[in-house]
Amino acid sequence: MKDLSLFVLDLAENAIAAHASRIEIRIEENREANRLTLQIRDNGCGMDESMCRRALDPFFTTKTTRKIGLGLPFVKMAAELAEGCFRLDSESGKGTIVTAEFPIDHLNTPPLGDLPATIYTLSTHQEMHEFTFYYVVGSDRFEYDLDQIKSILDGLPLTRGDVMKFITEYIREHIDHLRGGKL
Amino acid sequence: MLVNDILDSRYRIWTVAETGKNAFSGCYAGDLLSVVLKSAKAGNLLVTIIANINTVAVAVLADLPAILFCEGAVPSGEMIRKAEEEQIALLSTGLTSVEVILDLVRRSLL
Repeated sequence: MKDLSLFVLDLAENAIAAHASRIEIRIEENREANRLTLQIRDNGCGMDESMCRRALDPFFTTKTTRKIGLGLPFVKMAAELAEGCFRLDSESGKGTIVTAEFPIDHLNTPPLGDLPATIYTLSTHQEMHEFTFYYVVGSDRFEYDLDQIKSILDGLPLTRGDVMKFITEYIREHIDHLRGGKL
Repeated sequence: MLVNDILDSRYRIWTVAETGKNAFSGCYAGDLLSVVLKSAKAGNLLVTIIANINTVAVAVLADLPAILFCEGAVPSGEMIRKAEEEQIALLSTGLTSVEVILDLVRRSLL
């Protein structure tokens, strides 16, 4: 995939398909350690150990519409191509944690992509009851809270498109500010 | 064109001889597998440096009869096994993707 935001979208969709009502996405830049970490936690149906191993095989999928599942294998491959690492922790009935680490300065580390639009789209997904997104740089962090942002907009004569534009710009500005540069 | 038509001293086939009879039409060169998935056309020969089990999975999804790994990339045993199950030919060469395409055009295989 071209960028990290597409990985985020794909993994979050996996979590929704696994009946997760709560998803937490955390992206952390540790510049001293030269590490960009993407972590997605959910409280979906989870997997046992054998299912976890099979989930990384692209020829295994729980979907009935096709025989190939590339979501997790693509994230794992992207991390490995950038000489980073990938971890899948899951417990049946409890949920799943997917962690991918990338060296920030590696040429194969994918760019972030349109993260604000991805985060907005996921946070407004009708099956999402609890959605959290953190962007962390060193000791500073941005926490996305859709309800709080919506309360700012409450009562304003805005179209759905205006709201989306406002919120994605809000996310972009906060991440830009944390990173000290344009997203 | 058949996969066997490509073979000469610069190219090696890794899968069973039967896969050499796979027919291909045109080629797609790319290393970003999600883009390959989107842009390659059914029947294309895939030219790539990404020797990963995901490459074989993408070939299955996109209906590609053969993958040619270039710049010295070679398939693993797992990839060969899976490709044979799916009747996909795996080849390799030391040439770059541009050299491969120029060579195939020169030999009227593209």
